[in-house]
Amino acid sequence: MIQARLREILFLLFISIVYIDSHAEAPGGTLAATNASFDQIMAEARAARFLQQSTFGYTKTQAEQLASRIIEVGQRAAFEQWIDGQFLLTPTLHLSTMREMLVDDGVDLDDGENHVSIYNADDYRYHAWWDIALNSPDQLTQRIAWALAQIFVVNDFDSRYRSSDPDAFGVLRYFGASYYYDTLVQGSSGSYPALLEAVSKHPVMGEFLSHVNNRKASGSRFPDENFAREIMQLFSIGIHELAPNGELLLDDSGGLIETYSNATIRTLARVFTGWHYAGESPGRNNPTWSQPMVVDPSRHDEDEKDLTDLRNGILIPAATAAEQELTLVVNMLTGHPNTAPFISRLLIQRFTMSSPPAAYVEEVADVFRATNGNFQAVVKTLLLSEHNLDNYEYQPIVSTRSGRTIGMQIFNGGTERTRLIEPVIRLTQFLKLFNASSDYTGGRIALPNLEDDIGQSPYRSPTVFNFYSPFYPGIPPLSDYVPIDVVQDTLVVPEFELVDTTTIIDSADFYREWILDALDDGNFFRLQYGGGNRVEREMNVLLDFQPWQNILDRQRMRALLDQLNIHLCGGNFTQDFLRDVYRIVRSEAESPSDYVPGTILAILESPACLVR
Amino acid sequence: MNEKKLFDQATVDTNRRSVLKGACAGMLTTPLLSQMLAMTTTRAALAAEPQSDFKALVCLFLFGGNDSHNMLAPMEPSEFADYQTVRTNIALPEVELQPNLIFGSSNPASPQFGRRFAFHPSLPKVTDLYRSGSLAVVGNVGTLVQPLTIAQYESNQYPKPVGLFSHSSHQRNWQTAMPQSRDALSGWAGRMAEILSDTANSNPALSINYSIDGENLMLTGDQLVPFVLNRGSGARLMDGYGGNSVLDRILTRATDSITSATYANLLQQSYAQTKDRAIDGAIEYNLRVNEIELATQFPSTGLGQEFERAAKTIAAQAALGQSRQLFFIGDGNWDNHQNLLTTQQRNLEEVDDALKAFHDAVIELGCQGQVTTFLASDFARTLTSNGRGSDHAWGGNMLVMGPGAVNGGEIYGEYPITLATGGPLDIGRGRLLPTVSTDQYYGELASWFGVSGSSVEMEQILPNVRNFWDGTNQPIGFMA
Repeated sequence: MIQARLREILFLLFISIVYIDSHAEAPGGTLAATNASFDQIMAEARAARFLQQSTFGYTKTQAEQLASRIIEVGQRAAFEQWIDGQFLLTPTLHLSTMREMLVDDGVDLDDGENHVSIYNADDYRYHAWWDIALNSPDQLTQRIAWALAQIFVVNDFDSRYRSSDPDAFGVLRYFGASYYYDTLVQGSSGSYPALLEAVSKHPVMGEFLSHVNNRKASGSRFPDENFAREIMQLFSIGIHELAPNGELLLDDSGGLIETYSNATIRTLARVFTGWHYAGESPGRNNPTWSQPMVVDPSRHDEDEKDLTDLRNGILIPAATAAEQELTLVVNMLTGHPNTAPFISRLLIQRFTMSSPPAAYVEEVADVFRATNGNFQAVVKTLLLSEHNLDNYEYQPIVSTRSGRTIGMQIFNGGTERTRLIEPVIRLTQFLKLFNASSDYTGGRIALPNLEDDIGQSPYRSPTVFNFYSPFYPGIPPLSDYVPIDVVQDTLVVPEFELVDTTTIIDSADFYREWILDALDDGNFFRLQYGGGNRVEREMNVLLDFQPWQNILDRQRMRALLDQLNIHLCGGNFTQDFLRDVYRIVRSEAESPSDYVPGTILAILESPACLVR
Repeated sequence: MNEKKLFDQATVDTNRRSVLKGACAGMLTTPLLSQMLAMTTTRAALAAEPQSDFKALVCLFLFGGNDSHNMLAPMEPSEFADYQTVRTNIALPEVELQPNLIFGSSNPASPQFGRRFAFHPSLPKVTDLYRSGSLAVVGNVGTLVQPLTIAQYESNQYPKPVGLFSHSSHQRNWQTAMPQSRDALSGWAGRMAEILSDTANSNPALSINYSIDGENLMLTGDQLVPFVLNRGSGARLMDGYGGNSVLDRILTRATDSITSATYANLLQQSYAQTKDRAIDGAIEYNLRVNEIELATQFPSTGLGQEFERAAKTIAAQAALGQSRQLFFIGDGNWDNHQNLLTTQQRNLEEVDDALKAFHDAVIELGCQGQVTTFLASDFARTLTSNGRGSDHAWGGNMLVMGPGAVNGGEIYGEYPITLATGGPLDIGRGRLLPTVSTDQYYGELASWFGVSGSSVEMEQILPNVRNFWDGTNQPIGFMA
């Protein structure tokens, strides 16, 4: 009953009309024409939206292929088959990609030279990341890894990620951050406790949260509390007690209940003592990024550790080995009642919506609990959940005069069921949609660190708190909104933490500049290295607007708008905006070649495109 | 359709020198203003008034938790011995502290009377500012819901801030001044600006609250949002906006359509509104501020540029029609669980240089007595070492700078009489229970800014303030 009422209030928000009949009257007063049937255009819209949620981008051809499967077997089965197929693919690894790209560029990795100063070798971790996001077939695996990178956060700010020095195992230090990223890629096909344990032992995390070389107490020196705090606050249970569906639990007087006290932190800090860099003596601050940290028992606190004040808490007996204590703690945290809803909610936010309803969190958390936190099962569930798939609806528009279906209306869940697309994914999806290619070695798309341009870049989270808080409420009037059906009764909009009056302009300028350049000389993005003693290299990223020009030529302006609406904007255009863009482009264009870039520029920064 | 106001820069009188001389001294006449701003008559009338009562507050927030017992160390022999004993390998050497020796207080009633302290070796300029009376310290400040004794803290029967010792919670609590809530959506300075804006802001395009650190909770009110500035470029107008090419004409008209539309989806609405504010604000801000040059040389660090951005905006306050301005400047990398000594040394050097330059710019602008800069940070850090650094703690020491505005050369509040383990404020590992609340700290600043201490407005700005201050006299005493 309640669900039905909510659907009326929430879900049936009329958004947009896509015209499908060749003689339909368009709002702008002219025609749009595709010959697709209603079923076909609906399938294409569904496919587009699903691929926007589950990949770093897709081509129109890929969307059409998935749409065909939807027509054959229905959307849920089509999506499930696509997901299963994705999980069969071999994960593309970042370290090996980075190494290949360096070798392709003529770098002898064994020559003992300073690759960082000669080749900007450290930048290749960004190059590899972008190329994998844009070109690798295992898109869903890479999206899960990127989601995990925003939970188990590190960054590459430490200067040793820009060092060409070999470590004790002969590994060049600038490869370090990619070792960590591959742990996430490989962990994405495993379970939460396995990854939490791998992350906890990873030297990159050990350096980042300073539990490497952490020692048992002596005199007035105490174990470092950093990792002990963040593994609970950010990587597992959070700071307030949750119900199985992610709702906040309250005490008798209606107050929040904290999951742990500072005494718990101090005890847990003793667990994470004794670990040091493999291949190095204990206490030596010489990272060996390729190997898990190892334990020096003499530096580990071997006293009993009472963590029973936690829900699902344990008592670790004295003289337990550090490695075993870690496993015990990882399993304790995995089984804490908060972890399944806490992690499930974070993952939902990375794929489908910012403020899921509690029922959605519970559905996903149930799978988390049932599978011991199997990430593939969890992500499959959150993508295929009816809370996601039924969030958009498509209905035919039937002409009262002819009885023919002339268009498709799009409805979506509005404020409570959408999210702002994060800058990195916005860029990769844009590049894929316009068939970005490159003249670089192997056709790779070797983009650099783009944090100053788009406000976000892999490896560049400023702190362990990620690029944005999963609890960020936005600014007025957004933060004044009283939600109807959202977990914890609070609308949150994480990605908006990156949006302000300066970044919103930076980002608009970035896209405008590159689109103008692409028109000017075909280069969407030009990267140049060189100068001084640096080896010169250059990369040009090309965009292909021709397929869109073909749509315009064959089917005219309204069809172009409809197609861009579906593929660039998730079908989110309002009728008013569609009409405005139609009029503006038609009245300002001076030559036929103005239409496609003009339309793209007109809609690219529209909230309808960016909030889906 | 919402047509933007594009001004031709060439028509603007750019004799900025005279603007500067008059920035705070009320010498500026504003013949151009009425031609340029689409203002209601009352607002125009206000803007034409010389802004002789101008005041600005600048918050410097050290994100991550500044180890403020190394920023200011006790130097009386017994106190220093305690400091060394508790801090072990993260204690600063006495010989390095000696040059920055200061006297705690000249007031016999002060707990700091007769005690010597020293600023961190990286803070020679701050030391000079303290000695010359432009800068004060407030000791042992922290977030509290109500005054707490150690026994009350340990009993768990008394209200405490939520999320104690967590970065995100402490940062929120410092900014909202509602530390008992994790749901507060506005900041104390945002609420204050909301109350003051009617009389202090005649500018329809810009808020009196400026964040130079992205969207910011402290400066956000119930409705008011800060205008976010870029430290280097200030407020750039979107490229191509108002341009003449076909594509730029399309871009401009589409942007106007986007920013003037109403959206059923509030996320879309919020995005459109921010863009609208960005464009209107940039046009206005650039017109008033862009050509301002200061003689004061700021350091080229991020922090230096951020303070320079604030100084330039203050220089334009009369032209902007703003008799009050608030700035938020954020600085990161203060969470030094490791590499504490080296990182804090570098960080504080930057703070030292930036504060001194800003101080000099305030003098250059003739704004003595009208601009106050105050420090904030998540928390202080454990006095005990973890071997390579210090961990999250609570009460800490804050700097307040304002030539002519601050009763400098004094340590206010309460610098603990001992930092020794088990001291009267130690709740474990050298986490110190705060004895001065952020409500007292902010209350004094708000009172200076023009909010009456006993008013209901003060209680809206600082909901817990009456737990600490009845509104009479000054809650701490550091403002002149």
